[in-house]
Parts: sequence; structure tokens; C-alpha cells
Amino acid sequence: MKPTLNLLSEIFPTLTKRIEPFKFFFQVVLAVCVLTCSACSDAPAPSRFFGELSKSNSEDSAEDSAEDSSENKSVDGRDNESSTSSFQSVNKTTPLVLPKDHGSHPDYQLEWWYLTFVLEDDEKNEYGLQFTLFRFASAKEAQVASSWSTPQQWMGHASLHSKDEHFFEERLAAGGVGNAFVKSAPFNAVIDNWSWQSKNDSPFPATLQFSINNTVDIALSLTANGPFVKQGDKGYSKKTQDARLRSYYYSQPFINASGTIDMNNTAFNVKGLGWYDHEWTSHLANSNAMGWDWFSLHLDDGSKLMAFRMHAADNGTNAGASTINRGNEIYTTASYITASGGKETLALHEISIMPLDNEQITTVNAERDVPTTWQITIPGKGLDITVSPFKSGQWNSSVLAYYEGRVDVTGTHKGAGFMELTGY
Amino acid sequence: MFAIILANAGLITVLLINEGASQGELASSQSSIFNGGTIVFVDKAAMSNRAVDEAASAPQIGKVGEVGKDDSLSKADYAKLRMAGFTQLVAFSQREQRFSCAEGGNSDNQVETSQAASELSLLGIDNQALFSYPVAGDKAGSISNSMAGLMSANGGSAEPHHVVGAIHPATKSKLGCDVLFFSSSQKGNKKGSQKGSQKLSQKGSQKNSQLVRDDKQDGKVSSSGVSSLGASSSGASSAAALPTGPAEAGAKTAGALPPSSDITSTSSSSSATIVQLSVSTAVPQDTIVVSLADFYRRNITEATWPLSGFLSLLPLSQNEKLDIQQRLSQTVAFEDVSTQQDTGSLPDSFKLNLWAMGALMAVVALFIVLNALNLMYRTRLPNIIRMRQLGISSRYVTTALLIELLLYCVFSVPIGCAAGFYAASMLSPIISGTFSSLFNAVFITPDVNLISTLALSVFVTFLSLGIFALIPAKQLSTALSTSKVKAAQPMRKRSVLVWTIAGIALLAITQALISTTLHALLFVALLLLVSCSLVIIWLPILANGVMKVTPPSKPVLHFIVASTAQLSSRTRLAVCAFFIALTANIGMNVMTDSFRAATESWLTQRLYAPAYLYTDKALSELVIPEGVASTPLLRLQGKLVAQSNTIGNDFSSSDSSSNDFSSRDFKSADATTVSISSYPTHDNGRNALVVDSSVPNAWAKFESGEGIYINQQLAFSNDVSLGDTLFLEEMKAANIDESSKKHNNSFFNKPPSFTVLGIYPDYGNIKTQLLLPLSSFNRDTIGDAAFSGVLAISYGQSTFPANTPEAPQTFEQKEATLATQGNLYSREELLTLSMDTFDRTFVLTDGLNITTLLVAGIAFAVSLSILSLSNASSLTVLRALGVSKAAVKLSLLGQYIFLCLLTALLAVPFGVYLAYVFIFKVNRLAFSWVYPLAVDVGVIVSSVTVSLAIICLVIALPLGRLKPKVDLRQDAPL
Repeated sequence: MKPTLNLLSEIFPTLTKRIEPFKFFFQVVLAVCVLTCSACSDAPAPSRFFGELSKSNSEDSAEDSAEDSSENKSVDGRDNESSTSSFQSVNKTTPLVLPKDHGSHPDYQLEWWYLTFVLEDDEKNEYGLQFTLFRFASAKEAQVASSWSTPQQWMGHASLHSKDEHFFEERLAAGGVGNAFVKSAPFNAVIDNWSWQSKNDSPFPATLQFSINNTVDIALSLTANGPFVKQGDKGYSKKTQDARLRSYYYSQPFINASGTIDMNNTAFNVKGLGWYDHEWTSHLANSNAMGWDWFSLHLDDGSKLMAFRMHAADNGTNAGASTINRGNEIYTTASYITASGGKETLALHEISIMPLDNEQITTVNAERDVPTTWQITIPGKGLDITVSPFKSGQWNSSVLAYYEGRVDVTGTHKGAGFMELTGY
Repeated sequence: MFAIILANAGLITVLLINEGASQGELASSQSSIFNGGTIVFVDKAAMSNRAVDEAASAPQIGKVGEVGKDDSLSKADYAKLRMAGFTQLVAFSQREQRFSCAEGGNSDNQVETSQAASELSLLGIDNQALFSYPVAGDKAGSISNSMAGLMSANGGSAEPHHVVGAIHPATKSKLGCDVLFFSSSQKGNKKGSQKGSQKLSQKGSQKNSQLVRDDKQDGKVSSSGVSSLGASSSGASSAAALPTGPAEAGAKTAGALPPSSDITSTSSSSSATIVQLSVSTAVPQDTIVVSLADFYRRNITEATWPLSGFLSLLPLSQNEKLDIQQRLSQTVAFEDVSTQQDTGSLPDSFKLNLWAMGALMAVVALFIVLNALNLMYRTRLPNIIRMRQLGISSRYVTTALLIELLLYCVFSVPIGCAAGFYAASMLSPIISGTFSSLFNAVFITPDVNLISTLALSVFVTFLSLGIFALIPAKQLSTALSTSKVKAAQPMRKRSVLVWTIAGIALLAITQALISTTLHALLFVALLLLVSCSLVIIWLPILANGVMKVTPPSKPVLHFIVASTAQLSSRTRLAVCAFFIALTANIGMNVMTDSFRAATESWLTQRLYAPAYLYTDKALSELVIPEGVASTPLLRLQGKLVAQSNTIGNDFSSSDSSSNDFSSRDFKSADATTVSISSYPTHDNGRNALVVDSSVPNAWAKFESGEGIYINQQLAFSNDVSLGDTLFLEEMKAANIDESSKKHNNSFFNKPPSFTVLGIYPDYGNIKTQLLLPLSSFNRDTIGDAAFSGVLAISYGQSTFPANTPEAPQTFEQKEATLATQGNLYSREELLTLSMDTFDRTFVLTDGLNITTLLVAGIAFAVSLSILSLSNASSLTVLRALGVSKAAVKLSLLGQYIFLCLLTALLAVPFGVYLAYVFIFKVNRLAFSWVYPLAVDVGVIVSSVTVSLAIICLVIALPLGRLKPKVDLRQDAPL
């Protein structure tokens, strides 16, 4: 070994000696390095669409994510604080009122009108259909007066799953331009040529018309055969135990839908059940630190179940997670709705939502481990069901990517519904 | 070490320029948001654009004043259309704006102007609509992605005075800064001088169109004279229509806006808006794209500055256009801003050239490094032998040498790369522009990653060197005494002769077998390889020959020659590198020169009219002043479905290969699209038509409509020869959309005969083309539809050239009348424009050439200086004999120059041969056109001189340091 080392030591002096004349080059290198670095730092990060948005609320969220229960502030106290970020806050003292609240709430940061359908055609082929309109508002500090648009931002998602095809389209539009809005009286939710039009101030009955990527055309007529259901406490829905994350939330789980789908130039009739959720909040926008597993199920005895489980987003839910600490679960709640529309809010200890099996979902950017088979038990209702996906890979690769898909229900109850999984 | 740095630097430079150039070419010719697919410009103001453009001639000028808030397209119209399902429409608004570079565009808005303001057009688009449009293809996707930087909440930026804008890399580099600002109050300054502001915007647009024109010319410069210029002009003029969009409105706005003091009173800094630039090649040049929300800020509202129109991301069908029109209360104009422009074959051939240069550079670099390694090992041979004699196993020595090599690679490759980057960015502003796009591309495409590039080059360099250096290293490390390591003996004369003949025969045989572009390129490599080996063989022989001739009475001269002979066998690799660089240099120069000469003479002949008018108008709308003869260029497009060849074709064709296939009776060709152009049948037309080959009496037959002329491209790519008859189908006018298809018969007065009468050169054109006499076109039925927008103008009663002594006033008047209807170019202007573009394109190639030569020269010099160290003993002897220091140095210099001269001598024939291969094989096969090889002695002499000058310069540097002292201690025998 020694000789080799000697040889190396002989090499190094020659090396340095040879480098010396090339100080000029080092200067060049330096210049290039500086250039490169500046280029790197200046380069526009392909900032995702709502980067600004989440930034605007980052102080709020930092507190939100810190599970600091020792700070025992009242909800209202926090509201005063968060009102610095200029949005209206969700408040128990301001109850949800229908039909007034079917419309848009631009003073809140985030809002969505969410329709999901479990449909089948005349040949009993099953379909899962989603139509969603999101509204985002930018924080007042970040707002810039523009005569073109308002600080509102609209986003529409349309997704259709057949057994072997998936169609998804995302639409974006600025508020105030006129091509995206939700109006009450009569209720009308529009983004471009996607339209949900009612004849009166209630969203139902209504017609729903939209297309997906110019390959699918959907026209449905929607009727409700049951009451609206205010989730949580009369529409005040907690997402965490301490209500740091909360929203106004009501549903219409009793929708009958029928109409036509024109898919790849083949038109056919469909009919089935629909579920409508309308939710608005200024306390959810930053959910980077967590996600939710959300279920809307039509059970075959006519009852409905809305259940969700907030989870820490970091590591994917582990199927083998211990049942004692319930994995990375943060908060779980559910609404059990009887066939006649009676609702019972279930507390944390009354329901268990546990992942049974995971699915690998590969998208262009990432490979994700998503728990898509779940066990939901509500001992008090004698309900023990397995929720499994209608098909694999029901992932919406949108600006905000998430799992949204039709599910089948087996166990003590049978049925179908939708499952939304975020934070994976 | 130095060699590796140098080699890497050179290689990276060439590669980057290459990459930069190709990206730049692509960027400037494709994927702009304005020509991603067909963009339809639905614009009320379009009328006014043209009116502004065309000063005061057209009748619709009356409408200009009325373009206001009432009848311009509004947000409501936009929403209406989008809700009706026209989601491919994207609203936009555009204004000219003076921008200044901002330094330290920090949050407190302290901006300092660092450069003179430049006028760019600020384009506001509904970026959200653009972003969310269903990804119909890669293009839409790339648009969306590149525009993603514009996306922020509400489409606006968080800070009130900051907006995010996208800019074309070339424009950005032209501006030379990352942050721009513009002051809205500037508009106020224009107040009161409507005319002035109008003029200003007009000027801006003029400049703009000029730029666009240049851009297109890059791709088109040498394509078939009249026709291609037509294409480029239509691109340019339609692009010019865009920036002028709000020009008139701008004039109005200037009056409507409050004076600057109003704005500044709100806050001292609020008058400036800071634009944070992000780079995107989807953005047109000289434009900054912002979101509409940012566009309509502060005092700019829809009322003061209406929307310019809607862009369509997909072509609109006729029905859709009707539908749109029906839904809008006001009349709208639809403009196909740009159908996919051809990139042209010049960038292609240019790219090919660059790649060839890159490959050459790689070879040269490898030779250089190997040579350096060889020399290095040689100088350290005594040490190694001592080690071996001390009992160190050869394995250790080899490993150590390889580790050393790796270290060199690790250290020098980054330096080389950095130097390469630096050199590349220094070389040309165009390149540096693309550079910024390269750097930005790092974030979009992970392919262009600086670190991986570096790692890759370290790896590749080490691997290739390792493999090649292993042999000498092994050989050295096993050596136990110097006697075993001998310089290769020069070959005997007979074997030299045999080798030479074999080499040339090999080349000759292979050359005959070339049939594809790949073959041709491989042949270039083979040519270099063979010539290289021949040089290695011949150089010592030549040197020895000269040595014999040199009279022994002049000892120093004799020493020079003898020493050269000795050197020549030891610097083989360096000589090879130099030889390749020189050969390539000569080859490229000869090729470019031939190309230039051919293009120039051809253009001179082809552009027969004293002036050409490029216009957007329909042929029937053009007002031609009296006394001006105009010849329109009509253009159709057809599909070549079949061709029949005459049996026993006895017409001679200049191209031998196309005759080989003429024995077939009938050949059904793949349906290639052929462009059909009209050609005037007057005398000037005849004089202007340059043909490679033609049947006897071709012009008379052409005049009478008995046949056609085809270009080389058509002839070569479809094996068409003289006398063949072509069958064309699906003929349609190139300029109109498909919905208005007309029957073939309506195009022509009588069905024309498509018998090939002649083949004409069509340099640079990428399309296959054929010429039909203008007289056979039915101008009444298709005049407007087929009009390509080009009109050959001659003043005076069809007398050419226009030397009729007309009253200058009338002449100017005529010119003015024409100039208002489009862009009027004189023949000279067109020629200069084309040749300028041509020269500019090849500046880059020249740069590469010189880089390669420089690198080879430096390597050569380095190896020579190392060798001369080993030669020190004989120099000492010379000094001892009383030769002066200067004389010794001079003698050394003489040696090197002599060696260079010898190499150059050998390089000349091979260089010319290389040029021949480039023109008649590579170009012929890749682009289906050839041009005559013009061997200009001046060009060769100048290339050789330049090369020698470079070498001398480089060599003189190390020579200065050499100290030929009387010192005999150096030769310590082992």
C-alpha cells in the first residue's frame, strides 16, 4: 500500500502545480457558480396554483397544526385572532340558514358544492360520477384591485368512472369575469359550460349538464326526496376535537338522478342516487399537515351514512396500525341518517373507521400508498361494514390531487357510495 | 489535466451551443402561445389594426375612431362564449409599454433604472382559462406548464406592486435583467399628443414585426425566392397585427387616463409596477405575458382599455365561427394568426452541422487528452521505472495511475464544464438567451440537470480515458527499463503506399454505397478516420522527404526539418486532433462559402422584379397604381399520388442517382404534399428561372402549359426525373381553410399537364414544390383564395428593370400607395435581408469552427512544449555550438510551423472532400437539395492562414517560457 500512497503524494504536488496557472479559470468558475446559483434561486418555482393562498393563511395554519391543547382558548377568542387574516370565521353563534346558505359565501376562504352519484345504465353497468365546484378567496392583504376579476377563484372538477374508464376534467376561472359563479334564487352554479340550474332557490330539483374533455356529455335531472341534513351541530361541523378546524356543512343525501351520459359518442340512459354536500369555511384551507378520509354511503335499508376521519398526512395510513392508538387518526365523526331523514351525530367513541387494505396508485409525479379498503363499525347501530373501491385507481390528478371514487359496501349492510381520501 | 479541462470545456461549449441553438430555434419557431395550434383572433379591433398599419388608404379607416367601449368585445361577451362551450377561447388584452430594468426589486419598491427603457408589448391573458383547458396534446400541456409561473391566487400577485410575468428567453436576455418595472404614469405623459403616441406604438409594432420577420427568415432565408418570402411575410405581418392591436385604443386611453401626478399622489412608489419575470418559450418575443387580473390594474380598466380579443387554443371550424358570430352582438373578425409555420430546413441543416461539429469536437478532445496522457506518462517514465525496479508490482502502479486519472477527471471536468458554460454564454447573446431557458428548463424538465450533466461528463470522460489510457498505463507500469518503451518506428514506404491505396479505395467504395443520411454521417466519420491514419503515415515521410531536400549547408534549417521529422512521429495524436480540426474547418468553410455563393447568385437571379409587396389583403382588394405592373404569386397545394416514368428516358439529368430508377414504368408514390406555385411566363420570369437540368425547349413548352418545373427537393425525394408525369390530387388553395374546397377544375383555365420539363434548385426550401405557368391559373375563380400575399412589383409598363425616367414624384406616390397596403421591399432590400440572415446564421458555425481549432491548437502547443522539454538536450547542444537563444527559439517555432504547414497541406484535399460529402451526400440525403461545390482558393488559404495564426499564437506562449540553457545535467541515464 505504501508505494501507492507515495505515488499519490507525488501526484498531488504536480496537480496543484498544474492548477496554479489557471487561476483565470477559477475566476471563471466562480463567476459561473454565482451565475448558476442566482439562476437557481430566481427561477420561478412551478408554484402550484394555490401557493399564494396557503401562504396567506400560513400563520393560522401553523397554529392549527400545532396540537397545543394547553392553549385553552375559546373558539371566539381564536376567531378574533384569525379574523386578522380577513376572512369570516365559522361560528356557532351564526347558524346555518337554508335556503339562504345554498348560495355563495365570498367572505369565507373556501367553499365547495359537491355532488356525487352512484349510477347505473339500463344494462346494469355501474358508474361513479362527481361534479364539484370549488371557490377560493385570496386573503384581503393579498388582494389587488383589478377591474378584470374579483379575488375569488373558481375551480370545477368533473369525474366519471365506468368499470374500465376514467374521465376527469378540471376547470379554472377567475371570479367576477362572469363565466363562473353560484347564484341563489334561482340556484345556479356555473363554470363555463358546466351548469347546475334549478328553478327556485333550492338546489333541487335541478338539471345538471356538463362535459368532460369533450368526450363525455352528461345531462341529469336531479330531485330530492328527503330533507337537507345539517351536519355536526346544526351545520357547525368540527373537524378536530378542539374545533380548530371547522366548517359549515350540510348535505342532501336523498337525491334521485336520471338522465343520459354520452360517452365516446355513445349515449345511454342512467339513473341512480346522488349525494350533495355544501361546505364553507375559513379554517380548513391549509390542510397540508393533515388529510381526511371521507365517506358518503347509501345503505340498502334507505339509511345514509356520512363519516369522516381526519388523519395526519405525513406517512400513509398503515393497515396494520394498532387499534389502540388508532394509527395517525386525529378526529373521527359521523352522521347516521335514517331513511326518513332523521340524523344522529356520532361521537369519536361511537364509531370506528379503520383502514383494511392499501392500494398503490401511480401517477405521473408520484407513487402513493392509499388505504382504499375500510372497515366502519358503529356498534350502537349494529353496523359493521367493509367499504371497498368500485375499481382501482380512482385518483383525480388535478391541481389538488386526491382520491375520489365510488365504493361498494358489504357486511351487515349493503350499499354504495363515495369515498374521498386526501393527504396521501 | 489541462487537456481534460480544455477538452471538456470545448465539448461542453459545443454541446451547449448545440442544445441552445436547437432549443432556441425550436422555441422561436414553435410553441408560442400564439401558434400552439391555430390561434384565431376574434377581434373587433382587428380592423383598426390594419387601419393603423396602413395609414390612410383603406375605406374602413372610418371605423377606427369608433372602436370604443361600446362595440368592443367585453368580459360579458367572453363569459357568454365560454358558457356556451367555447372553452378554447382565452381573452386577452395587449398594450405597448415601456419597461425598464429594475435592480433589487425589493419589497419597499425602491427601484433604480439601470438601463434605458425598452418598449415591449404587455399581454394580459386569462391565464386560468389557459391553464385549465383540457390538455388536448403536448402543446397545450406545455403551454399550461410554462404558464404555471403566472399562476397565483386570483391570478394576481400578493404584493400590490408586483406582478408575475412570463417572457421569452431571448427577449429576457436582450433585456438582461430578471425584474422589470414599468410606470403606469408614463401613459399620462403621452397625454395631449395622441398623434405622437400613436406613432410610438406604430413604431413599436414596426420594430416588432421586423423582429418577427428576422425570426422567420432564419428558418426561411434561402427557401425558394418569391414563394418562401411570401410565407415569411404572412407570418410577420399577422404577427405585426397583434402588437398593434390596441394601438389606436392606446391613443384614446392616453387621453382618458389621469395625468401622472394623480397616480403619484396616492403613494410615491405606486406608479411603478414591478414585473417578476419567469421564462417561457411559449411566450412570443418582445412580449411580457401577465394575467388579465394584473393587466387591468389601477387605472387600466376595461372601459379605458377594452379587450383586444380572444385567442383560440384550437382551430375554429367554419360552423364554430358562425356560431360565435351569432352569439355576439357586434361584428367580429377572425384571424388565423399563425398556422404552424415551417421551421424551415435551414435550422435543421444548421443543427446537423452543429451536431457534426460536436462529434468532431468530441473526437478532437479525445485525441488531445490521449496525447496529453501519453506525453505525461512518457515524461514520468523514469520515475515509474525506478518504482518498478524497487519492486513495486505493476498492479499498484496501474491502479495509482488510474486513480490519478480519476482525480484529474473529477477536478478538471467541472472546471471544463464551467469554462464551457461560460464560453458558450459569452459566445453570442442568442445563445445566452437560450441559456437562461436552459437554466430554467432545469426546473421543468429534469433532463437538463447541471449536476447530472457534470456527473455524466466526469463518468464519460473517465470511462473513455480509462479505457484508452489503460493500455499505455499498463505498458508503462510493467516497463522495467526505458529500452522497452520505444517510439513506434515509421513504416516502410511500400506499406505506406499500400495503406494509402487501401484507404482511398475504402473511401471510394463506401462513398458509392451511401444511401441514407445516417450512412452519409457515418461516412464523414470514416473519412476523418481514414484521412487521419493517412496523415499519421504520411507526415513522417513528408518530413523526411523535406529533410533530404534540405541542404546540409544550413545546419539550423536542417536541424529544424530533422527535428520536425522526429517530432512528427511522436506527436501523432496531437497532429491528428489538429488535422481533424483543420479538415473540418476547411470543409465547413468551403461548404458555407459554396452555399453562400450559390444562394446569392440564385437569389439575385430569382428575384427578378425591382420590388415585392407582402400583404395580408385579398388580391382583388389590392389597389395597384397605374403604370405599375404586378405579378401575383398564387399558391396551391396538392397531394402527389402517383407518377409515371417515361421508358427509355434519354434526357440527361444532372443527378446520376435519379436516373438509376427511371427504368420503372409506373411508380405510385406515397402521398406527399406538394406546393404548387405560379410562375410568370414573361421574359423576366424566363431569365430568372435557374434550372439544373431541363428538356430541350423547356421554356416554350412551359409557356404553352405543356409541363411544369419541379424543385430538387421533389425530384430527389420522390425520384422524379425529366419527362416524368406527376399525378396530383386533393388540390386546394394553400391559404384558405378546408371548408371551402373547390373542384380542381375551378383552379385552372384548362387542366394543366404535369410533365416534368425541368428541375430547378430551391435552396433551403423544406417543401417539395412545382411551378405552373401563371397563365394556367384561373384568376377569377381562385385569385383571392390562392393568393399567397406576395406581389412582384415593377414600375413602368412591364419594363424591367425600372429605369424608365419617370417623374420622381409619381414614382414615390406609387410606392407610397403600395406601401400602405403591406410591406414593400425592394429587390436589394430583400437580398441584403436574406444574406444578412444567412451570415448571421453562420456566425455561430464560424464560432464553433474557431473554438474547435483553438482547442486543437492549444492541445497541439501543449504537447509540443512538453516534447520540447524532452528535446532539451539537443537544444543544449545547439546552444553549446554557439547558436543564439533567439535563434534556438526561432528554430523551435519554425519546427512547429513547419509541422503545422505539413498538416495543413494534407488537410486541404481532405477538407475539400469533406465539403463535397457534406453537400452532395449529407445535405442531399437529409434535405433533398444540393448546390454546386465552389472551391475558392481564397477561402482555403484564409482558413489555413487563420489556423496557422492561431497555432502560432498559442505556441508562442509556451515557447517564451522555455529556457534553452547550456545544461547537460538533464540526461541522467538509467
